Amino acid sequence: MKATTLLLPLILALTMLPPNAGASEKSGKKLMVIASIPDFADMAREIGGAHVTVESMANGTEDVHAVAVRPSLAAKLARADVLIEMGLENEHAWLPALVEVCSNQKIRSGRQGDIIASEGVVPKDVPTNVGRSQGEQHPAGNPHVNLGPDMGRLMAQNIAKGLTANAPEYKADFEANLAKYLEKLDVKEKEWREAAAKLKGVKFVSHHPDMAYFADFLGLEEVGTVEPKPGIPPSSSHTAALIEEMKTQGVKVIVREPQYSEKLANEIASKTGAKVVKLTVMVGGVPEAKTWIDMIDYNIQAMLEAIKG
Amino acid sequence: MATRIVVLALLLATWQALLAEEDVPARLQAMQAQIEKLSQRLEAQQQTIDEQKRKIQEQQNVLVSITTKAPIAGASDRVLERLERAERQSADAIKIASRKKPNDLNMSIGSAIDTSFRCYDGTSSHTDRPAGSDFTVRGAELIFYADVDPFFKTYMVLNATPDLANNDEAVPSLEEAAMYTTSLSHVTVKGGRFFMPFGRLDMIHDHDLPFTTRPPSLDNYVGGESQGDGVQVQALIPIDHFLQVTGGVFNKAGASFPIQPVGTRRDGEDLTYFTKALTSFDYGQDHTFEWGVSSLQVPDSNTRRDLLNMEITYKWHPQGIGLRERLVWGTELMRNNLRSTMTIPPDVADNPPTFVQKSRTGSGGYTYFEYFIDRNWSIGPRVDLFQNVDPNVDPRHNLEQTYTAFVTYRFSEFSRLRFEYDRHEYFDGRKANEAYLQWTVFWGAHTHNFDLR
Repeated sequence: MKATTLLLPLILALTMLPPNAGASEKSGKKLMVIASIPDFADMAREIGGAHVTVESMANGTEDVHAVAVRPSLAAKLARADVLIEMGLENEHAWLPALVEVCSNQKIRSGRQGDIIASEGVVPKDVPTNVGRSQGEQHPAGNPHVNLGPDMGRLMAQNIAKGLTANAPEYKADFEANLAKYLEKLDVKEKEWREAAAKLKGVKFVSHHPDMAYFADFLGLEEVGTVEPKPGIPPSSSHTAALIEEMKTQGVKVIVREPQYSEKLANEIASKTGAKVVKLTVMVGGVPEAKTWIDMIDYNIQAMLEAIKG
Repeated sequence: MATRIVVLALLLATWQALLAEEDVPARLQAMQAQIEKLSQRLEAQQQTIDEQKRKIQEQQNVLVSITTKAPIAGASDRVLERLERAERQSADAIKIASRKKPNDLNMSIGSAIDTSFRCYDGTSSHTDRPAGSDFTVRGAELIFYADVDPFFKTYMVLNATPDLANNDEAVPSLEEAAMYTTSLSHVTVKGGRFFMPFGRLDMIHDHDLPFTTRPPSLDNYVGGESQGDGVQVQALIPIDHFLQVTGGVFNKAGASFPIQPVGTRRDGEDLTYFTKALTSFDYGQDHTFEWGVSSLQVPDSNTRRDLLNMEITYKWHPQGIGLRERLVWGTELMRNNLRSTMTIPPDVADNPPTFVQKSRTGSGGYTYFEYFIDRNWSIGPRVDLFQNVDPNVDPRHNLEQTYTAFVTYRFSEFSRLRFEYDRHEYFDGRKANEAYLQWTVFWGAHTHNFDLR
């Protein structure tokens, strides 16, 4: 047997590795936290403080259901002590494949290192008619929990609980940081509730049905979506019907998420007189949304601007 | 009302006084008694009014405590009891909604049906299907997968493909049946029959390819999908950089490439040895570059197979400029060395046949790109060139070339139409045109695995 031929793949691959390939960013006893989306990365930094090193897999401008499965993400997961994910099958199209290929036992589903940020939420839009004819459904309910202004407390508490379970030696610090963060949230939530009074009853359409928790908090009324069914690209007949419905119901706001076409939203706006407002579905989706609190601030302000007339 | 009664009583008393002036003191006493009675009645009525007011206030307090969700102080026991019952019922409802059903322990089942209409103006000797027009159910696949226990997962793929020799009757076959570990850190051990990750597209089922036809160079060098019965170990090296290494031993590699005839003795040197290394680099958020090297080797000196593959993939996945607009460029280059024993029949009866060993080396590969315009449409070209290593082919004219263009329309993630045009230039100098309209659907449970990224 030509041993060199069989070893050739490994030898060539090693020569292509960058000089710092083996360098680990881990330092001391810091917990390596990988978050599926930047929202959880932000909260993990707030709660974990100096005891954690945090990275996010998705950036804010991607489609949260279709994040590119880059091999580098598997390498990140292989080093993780903790994985924070939304749950409710939000990341089902990309995260399970990466978790499986990285073979990191700490973060496998159901293990201590796998933190579900939405745990305990009463999900909205749980489908009563489950089937592929209904599009790319989430059978467990609408997974866009991170957009609910009143969901910050639940997500932060779940993250704190998970971090404590993985690093009990820092429990006191995590609890203190959580308390500080919840105080901030209380102040902000009061502001958001005041803003909600001005937005109550405002009718809107969005591209994807991702605004359920946001709309519920603010008392907004979702009249329809640009997608005929979740994940199904819009057809001309559906768009025409949506335009008629918007005219009938006097819808004045079209929510456009950064990952969806601006062109179609503008076309619908030109035919209905509605205003297109760009709302981000993740931290980092717009430059203003640097933290989770910033993101909710930005989205509410954008809605308030949209109804100014 | 009370005032009127008092006034009436006073008038009556005055009138009686005028009628009988002599009995004044007695009359005055009677009047005094009546006035006292009337006062008592008034007092009783006032008490009734006060009592009613108190009850109304109590009811208002209960109403306020319920509507403001304040602590239930002051609410009646009945209201409290009803609230507690409602809480218990909603907790039970959540439990019922989230409970696991006995069916959850069953395996997940997915399926794919891949059909096509094909037009081909070449001769049948170059293809598996007849020339001319041809409707085909290219594959009807059933996929089963499940967790075995906390340590293993398993899956099985049955595929029925048409058998031309049997009037296109679909014949099911076991394409894959494998189990793999889930409890080892950074390492996965897999065993059974499965497609080994040789190269880039070899382990991908036909219906999951980015084009209708498998690149001819892969078909020729690997033998369709890289199917093998054996065992494989794959490790993701736990460093910051992605480096995955794989090694395995198999009876054979290639769905239609048994190097050793079935039923003959197979020694260690007749087995197929497989190694691979794959690495990847990100350039910013939008660009990913992957490259890997794979090797397949049958070390036997009489029937040797030595196949080396280099794969390169570049992906452009821009952020925030439109959903799923992206580009994939993929290339595989191969060097193939085959030594086989040729049986030459005797010229004269009774003479034994002679055996001649022939060794041939060739190179080949393909390159393609697929540009995803949006969620529905993608287009791309492919070029495939390879030197045929069949010992019977004249080595001076053994280059086969195929030029392909394809357009795909996806109705959703689970159904698509694809048009593909192929221009063939065969090693014997003949040329042919081929066109496909392919309709593929996927249904049932599905997973997104890393190999299909």
